[in-house]
Amino acid sequence: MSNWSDLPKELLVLVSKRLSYINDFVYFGAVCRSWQSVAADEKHNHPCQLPMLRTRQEMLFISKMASHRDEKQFIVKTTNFGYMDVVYYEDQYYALDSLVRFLLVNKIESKWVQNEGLKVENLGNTSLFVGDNSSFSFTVGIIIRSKEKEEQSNGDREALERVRSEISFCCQPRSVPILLVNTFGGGISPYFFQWNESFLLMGTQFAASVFLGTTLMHFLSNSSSTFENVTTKTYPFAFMLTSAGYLLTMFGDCVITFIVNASLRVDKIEVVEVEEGAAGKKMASVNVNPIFLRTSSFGDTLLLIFALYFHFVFEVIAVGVAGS
Amino acid sequence: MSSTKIFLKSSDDKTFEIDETAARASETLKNIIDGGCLDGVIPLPNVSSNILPKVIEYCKKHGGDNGSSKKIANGGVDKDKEILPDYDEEEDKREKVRVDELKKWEEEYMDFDQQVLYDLMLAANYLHIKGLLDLTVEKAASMIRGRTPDQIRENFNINSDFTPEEEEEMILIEDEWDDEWAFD
Repeated sequence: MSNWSDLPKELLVLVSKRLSYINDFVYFGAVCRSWQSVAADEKHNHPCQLPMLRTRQEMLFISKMASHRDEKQFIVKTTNFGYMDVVYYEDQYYALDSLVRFLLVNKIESKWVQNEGLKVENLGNTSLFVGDNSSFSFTVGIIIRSKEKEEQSNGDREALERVRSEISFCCQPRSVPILLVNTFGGGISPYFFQWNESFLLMGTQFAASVFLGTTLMHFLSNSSSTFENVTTKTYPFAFMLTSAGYLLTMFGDCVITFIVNASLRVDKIEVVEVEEGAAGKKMASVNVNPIFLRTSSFGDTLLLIFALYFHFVFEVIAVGVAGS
Repeated sequence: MSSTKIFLKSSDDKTFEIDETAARASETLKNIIDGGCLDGVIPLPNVSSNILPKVIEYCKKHGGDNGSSKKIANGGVDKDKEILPDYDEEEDKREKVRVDELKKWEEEYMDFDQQVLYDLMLAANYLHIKGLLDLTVEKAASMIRGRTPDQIRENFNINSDFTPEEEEEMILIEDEWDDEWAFD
């Protein structure tokens, strides 16, 4: 008399390995105790991957559906192809056939009943991976949101930074000749045109402010992101430092103006003394700070231009370093 | 050239005759033969007289099949290694016919009830006849597929040793499995 429940374990293992459908495997384990122990040991080696479903609280595997199961289990009429998988979405189960169409399966009093072919247009934020003998779905944004999002935002920032540095690298070489020509032209123009002295002064100031503006555009953003990388604090160091620098510069400006005004009085007296004989009309034209008037000599102009270029070289180097 | 005869004794003291080439289909017998016990009778205490002929039938079909003469001529060198380079289309076609024939034969051969299957599976396992073991395991699996536990028990004449409460909980156990599986 054969006794199948006494079959050696190695043979039961061999048999269980041939049961690639999960409900066969589960039922195999439900036959008797010795078979159950084999199934319990072998379930991790089972070749069949179950459809994995993530619900809000837990992750579930739902077995493939058989045509007739107990009341407590899924009852879905099997079509010609059979259903490949079951998908869980918003407290509903969807049967999935081999043409990747969805059927809604309703839960009515702990009993699963097939609904009439309701097609689902999309699964919302549930991701579904469809395989031949295995599929799984999970709700994106609930389980893996936190980590994924962080990684994504990091990636975004890196990409943005890369693009930004690329842009600055592309643009700078082209803008260099323009800037050079413009500054050089502006620098030597007084020798060809008779500019008004006060206009020249204003032009110098304008040029200085343009430099300042471009510098702020380039460096403020870079330095603020550098500060972000260095510290975790959200305090806007770069901007506050810029403001402090402004205040310092303004203070220095005030000091210089004070000194210049002090020496101006002496100069004016000198000028008045020298040109005492001339008319009052002449006085108006000299009513400009004589320090700036000294630019009229060729050597001084050259020096000024070189100083500008020298400064410009440093700026370009600094921009390049910040970019890389 | 006829091969040596080997005698196998079943658990109930009945002796059966088998060709050496056929016997070599069984790893266990092959080891015994190579070990030099050819003269005497090989006792098989785990195989009964109603199963042994079935095993011998399988061995005759598979142990003495193609290449057996070559194998003997080559003094027992592994036949597959010898034959492989000689394969041509003709050989392929013959092989196909042979496989079809073999399948048909297997179908007829495997036509028995679960009791014989059980003994045959044990015998195949004991004698290390891989082909026969595969056949029997596959047949057992086919008797499980697509059936409920009750139907499986009926097929194999198994009495459930679960208590009724455990039977009730069977569904729950499945659920727990699912959870465990999920965190692998």
